[in-house]
Amino acid sequence: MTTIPVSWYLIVSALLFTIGTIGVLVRRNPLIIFMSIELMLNAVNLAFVTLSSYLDSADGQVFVFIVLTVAAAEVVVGLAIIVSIFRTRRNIDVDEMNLLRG
Amino acid sequence: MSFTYIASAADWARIAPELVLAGVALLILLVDLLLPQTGAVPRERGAANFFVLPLLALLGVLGALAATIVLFVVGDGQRAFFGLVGSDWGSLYAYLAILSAAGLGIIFSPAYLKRLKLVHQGEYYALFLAATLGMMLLAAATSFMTLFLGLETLSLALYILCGFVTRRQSSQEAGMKYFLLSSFASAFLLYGVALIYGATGTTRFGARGTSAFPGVLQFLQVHPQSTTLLLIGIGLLTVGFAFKVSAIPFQMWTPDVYEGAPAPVTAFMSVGTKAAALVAFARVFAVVLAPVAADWQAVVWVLAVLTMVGGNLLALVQRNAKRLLAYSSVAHAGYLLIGVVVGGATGLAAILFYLLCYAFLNAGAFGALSALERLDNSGCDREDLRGLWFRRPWLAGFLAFFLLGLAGFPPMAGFAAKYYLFFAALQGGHPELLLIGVLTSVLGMYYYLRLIAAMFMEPAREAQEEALEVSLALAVAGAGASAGVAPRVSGPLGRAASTRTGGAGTGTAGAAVAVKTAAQATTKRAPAAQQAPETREQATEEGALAGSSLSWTTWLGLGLAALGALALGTVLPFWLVDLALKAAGTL
Repeated sequence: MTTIPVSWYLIVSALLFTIGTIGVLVRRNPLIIFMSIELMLNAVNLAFVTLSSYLDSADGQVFVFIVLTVAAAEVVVGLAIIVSIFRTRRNIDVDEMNLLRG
Repeated sequence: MSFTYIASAADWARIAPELVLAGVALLILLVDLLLPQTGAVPRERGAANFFVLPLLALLGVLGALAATIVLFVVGDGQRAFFGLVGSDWGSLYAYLAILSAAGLGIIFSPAYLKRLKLVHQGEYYALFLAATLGMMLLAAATSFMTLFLGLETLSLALYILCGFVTRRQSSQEAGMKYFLLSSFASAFLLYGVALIYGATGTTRFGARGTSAFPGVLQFLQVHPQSTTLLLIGIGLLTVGFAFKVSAIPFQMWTPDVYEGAPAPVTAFMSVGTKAAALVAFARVFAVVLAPVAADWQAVVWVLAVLTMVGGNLLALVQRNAKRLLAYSSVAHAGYLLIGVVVGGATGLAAILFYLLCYAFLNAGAFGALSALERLDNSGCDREDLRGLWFRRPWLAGFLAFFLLGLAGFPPMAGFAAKYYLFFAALQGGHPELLLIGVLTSVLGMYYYLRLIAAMFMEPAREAQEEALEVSLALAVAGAGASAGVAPRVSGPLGRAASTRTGGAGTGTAGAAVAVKTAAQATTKRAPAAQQAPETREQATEEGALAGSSLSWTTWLGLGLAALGALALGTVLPFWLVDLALKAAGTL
């Protein structure tokens, strides 16, 4: 039985990261932007797990747990900010957020 | 694979400053619940909050400061928890800058919170300390794991603090923008870390001169050739760090966030985040990645030059003082990046000393602005600052003092800081950076001095005169409108009114002119009215401002910042630079 080469995992991870980046740059709804950022973080997780098994070192796997925890905390804060903005503006389009500029 | 985990008491002692802050942050949340509750809003508390909670937070910061000094004296400077966190003098020196900024930010807070009638103070101070804790963890990180953890701890707390004034749309907007862009940057940084991990097989940094906890540094010393994986990793890491230290072209979030956030928070975060991120930047690039310096030095050089030139140029065209200071902080990040490019003990020592000086100057400047800022985030435009010297001489004097210090005039700390940084550039073999730095500093003097000139030399916009003008216009408009409606009913009266207003021939023509004036007057007022829904609160706030009775806490903060800035510029620089040189060797 042949195993899947490490580079394939890394390519998938890079693709996911790119998709996430494009999502952040293209989409205008903060929820979707946020989901794209989560996709980028998960691409990082995939890379960490792959490299961890490839290098036979536990650092990467521990790092994945830290990233997951932090991402969860980020969801809490991020959604709270989005909700608070929706309460006052009834609109969360990032293009409408242009009070601060210059 | 089998792992054992043993943490000794010495490990805990090495992170004592962080432990103190974490403990006090939890204590504040507890005390907030116990304090007597008054006021109609459920979470609004009594007068005790404005005293007890900030005092507790300040004690926490002072406790952490004491722990830092104790570690300076008796600490062994070893890494804690198997090389994850440093307790070396470099980290401790960065703590000094971060804790100074946190202390000043806390001192500026109660008066500001009181004036803007903000509730949830327990959370405010707890988050303040949590952000400080994250910054210290980031500055002391000797592993990519701790680095990421510290970065996120400080960011998560600051997202909330930036959006803390929920009644102000610009504050919410600042929180949102900071949140989205900062987490975007974190993802880049993290991907860079993953690739570097793949290239080197470890996430630990590794210490110089010892093989106790081998890390990236040891790997690169043995294999100095750069692989593709490593290069991409370093590139992504650079992007992430450039975002965090707000280097151009990744600075777009800085002015928005600094302008929208509450001024005391800006005072704290503009210094603390910068100090922590730059120390981490310097440690990762100038120490850990030093063996492959040829691969990243040119990129950081370009970043430094772009940031110095661009930051100063963009600051020239700003009308809002908070925004101007934000761009000035971008420019200062550019100066600091010189230290990263130069590297070595002198470059790193210059960064550390500069950060300490910058902490007092920038926190002081934003602290002075915190006394002027209104609920709708107005009050900091250059128009509003005109003639401040005649209205509130002391505040104008302090603000001018800090601005002159930031511009780099001699008696204040800014001069000594810039001197050592440029000296390091010359010594490190980068005379071109010295030249660009000095030229852009001269450029920078223009906008600082223009703000000072506005405060001291230009007369204040005559508020009373304007009010008179408006009331006159309204009266005329009223007369004209009545004339316009009434002419058929009472021709002579309307004609009389119109001749009285503009000397126009017929009543209808006079009415048309008057109505136009009225329309202009109302459109001129309309945006202001839209921006400030709570007009009554605005008015009382205005009254408090006009009374020019600043809270004693604000005076204390301004005085301490000025004293620190002056001492760092005159009495202490030689001793502190000496200390910084020793500290830089341990990073």
